[in-house]
Amino acid sequence: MPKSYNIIALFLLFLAKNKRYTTFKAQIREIFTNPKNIYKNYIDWTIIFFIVSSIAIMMYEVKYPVSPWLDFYAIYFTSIVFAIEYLIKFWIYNDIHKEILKEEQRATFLKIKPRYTPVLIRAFFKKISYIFTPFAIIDLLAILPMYRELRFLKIFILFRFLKIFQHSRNIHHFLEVLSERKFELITLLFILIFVVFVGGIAIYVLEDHLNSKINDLFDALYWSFITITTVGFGDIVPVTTAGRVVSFIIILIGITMLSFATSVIVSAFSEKLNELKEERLAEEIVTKEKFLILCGYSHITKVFLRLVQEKEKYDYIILDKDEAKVQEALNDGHNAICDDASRYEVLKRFYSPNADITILALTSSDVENIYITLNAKAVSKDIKVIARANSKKVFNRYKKVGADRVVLPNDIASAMLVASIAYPTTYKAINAILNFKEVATIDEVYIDNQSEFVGKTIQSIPFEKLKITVVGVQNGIDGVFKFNPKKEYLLKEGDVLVVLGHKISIEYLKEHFNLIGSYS
Amino acid sequence: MFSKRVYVFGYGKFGQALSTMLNEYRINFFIGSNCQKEQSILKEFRENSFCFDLEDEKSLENLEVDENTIFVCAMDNNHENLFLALTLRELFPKNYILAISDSIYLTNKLKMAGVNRVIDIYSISGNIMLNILKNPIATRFLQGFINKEHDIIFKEVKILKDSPLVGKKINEIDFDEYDIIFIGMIDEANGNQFIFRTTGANFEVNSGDVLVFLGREQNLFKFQLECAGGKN
Repeated sequence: MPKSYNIIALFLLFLAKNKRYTTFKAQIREIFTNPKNIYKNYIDWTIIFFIVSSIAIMMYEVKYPVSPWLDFYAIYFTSIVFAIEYLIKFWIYNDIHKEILKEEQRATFLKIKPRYTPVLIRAFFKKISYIFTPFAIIDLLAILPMYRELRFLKIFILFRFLKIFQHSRNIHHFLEVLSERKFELITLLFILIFVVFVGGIAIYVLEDHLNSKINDLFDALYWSFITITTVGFGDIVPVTTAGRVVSFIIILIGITMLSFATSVIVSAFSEKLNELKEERLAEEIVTKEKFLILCGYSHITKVFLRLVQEKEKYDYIILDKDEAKVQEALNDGHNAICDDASRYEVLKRFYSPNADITILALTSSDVENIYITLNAKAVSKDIKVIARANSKKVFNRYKKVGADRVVLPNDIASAMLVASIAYPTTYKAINAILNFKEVATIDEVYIDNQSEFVGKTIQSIPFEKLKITVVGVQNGIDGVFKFNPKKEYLLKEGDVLVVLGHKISIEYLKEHFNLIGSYS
Repeated sequence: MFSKRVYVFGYGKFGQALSTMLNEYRINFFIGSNCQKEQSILKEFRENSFCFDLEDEKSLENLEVDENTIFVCAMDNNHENLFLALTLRELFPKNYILAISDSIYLTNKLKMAGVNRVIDIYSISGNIMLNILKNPIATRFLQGFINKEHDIIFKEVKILKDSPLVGKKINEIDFDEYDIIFIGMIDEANGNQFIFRTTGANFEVNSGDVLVFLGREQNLFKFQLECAGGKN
């Protein structure tokens, strides 16, 4: 191996083993390529702004003089930004260092001498292939106005417009729809070309020397194209009866083809529309800091959502594999997607490492709910799962698969019914608490490092004056819950107080002492 | 032990969960099944079972009923449950009837049929789930009423004539001594309304008042033994 290749390979090997470099590159790739990444959105909008503003200045400059700094901005500054973007995309297109590392591992495993040269050449050509991708060509041409020598080619301004294609998701979706109907559209295009040629040749043959406007075959083809597309500028018109008959036929074919093309695109869009809507919903919810995924649009889901709308505000999305139920949810005004939550890829799509995600497995089948729970925990242990169990017999199975909380509707209702028979007074108290009655508000108050409660005893805080009962405190260090803590209990950072009081009292406590609820 | 006679109609999903819970709380109950559909439960509950026919009122009239008897309509079929509630109300106008429901619409219909208390299965579960989300720590002790073996439970204590608390103001009583939390009470003198401690009302404790506490079972029993008076 030549010495220079050796040095490059060693350098790339060093990069491949450098965790900081690989992490940094992975982060940059994530930002530039993952549509779910919040920074990608910012980058897209910034680039769009540069494109539109530079084009506007360039257009203005055609007729009117602009100040030098605007000229500098439109020509040089934006071009430098686009050039940096181009280089980053080129850099993240593939990982040569990974290929080199793979070769090294292969050689170590087989106890042979690594052959870096062919790997380097292969990876290099792959890298170079980026330059020839359509988007990379557009990117490069969009930078060109920077060179004064090429500025006479004002047409390059157009390439900046084309750059928007890469940064606008709507245009991406449009292109996707078109690509799905590639076969039909290409067929139509070929028919169009064929008819244009047939029509053009026909008029050329029929009106040669008779029509002063048709001097060559190009004029005839031009006329044919303008006629078939039903534009009809009127600069060339047939002058013979035979020519007019050809016009009839071409116009009829044109109208038919246009209608056909329109119906192909419209039907493709309507088919894709639901998919796009769902994609948008999924992307939107993932950007939230906290959200709920409700699996199954069952009766309990409806009741839960009614309560949520009345009492609390949560961002949520409903997943159900039954199309009819999804439609019902949509009709009820909820955000719903038709998908199977028991599939790993489906839940993975909603996973965001920085978000506080709670999944509610609410289908009427224990088998489904257990699978959803297991699936959620497989995606991430941090995802909280509240599952509905339809029978007490399967309760332990839910716990085994990692459900954080299991709700047994029949058992809860039975307990309430028994309480209402045997302990009617307790029932009233519990019912009021569970129904969020203002007089019996239970809340959790989080003591953060900013809180003035830190280092104070419970006694020294005016709970009694506010008619608030401290039911318990969860220790910020070990997480142990202490029921009915002593008045001398010293509050620490991270402690969570569970309080019972009138809503007004608790709100006042939070406002006055700048406290936050544990879920806030 | 709870002395009132309880008739539970229906041994479906809910009926089964309810019968387990009633057994846990040692409540004397009779489980009724549709003569044609659920014959198997007659074997399981033997003398504590009965059979009824919705279309034959005589099967219901033959039940041993006094003024304290409680009826629970727990049939899985909503239509049958509503019809049963109507029939029971007609036959026993003064008795306490409870029924299960699975929607707000059915709840309203059952109330119109004369049911005294309707328990909406999904509404309660929905509330519990919302509580879990909102107050994940607090909900753990709220579950004390579902699971009898839970560490912290709710308990109501009826104050009898010879209780040392009679005549005392609520704020004068030191409940911390028993490591229990006073939640609220039913004040007989104030029209049997449940008054939460959070209102700040400082009522005088009288015999017949019912106080609700939250605490550990042994502490609650100790308090009951020492402060409720008589046998509670």
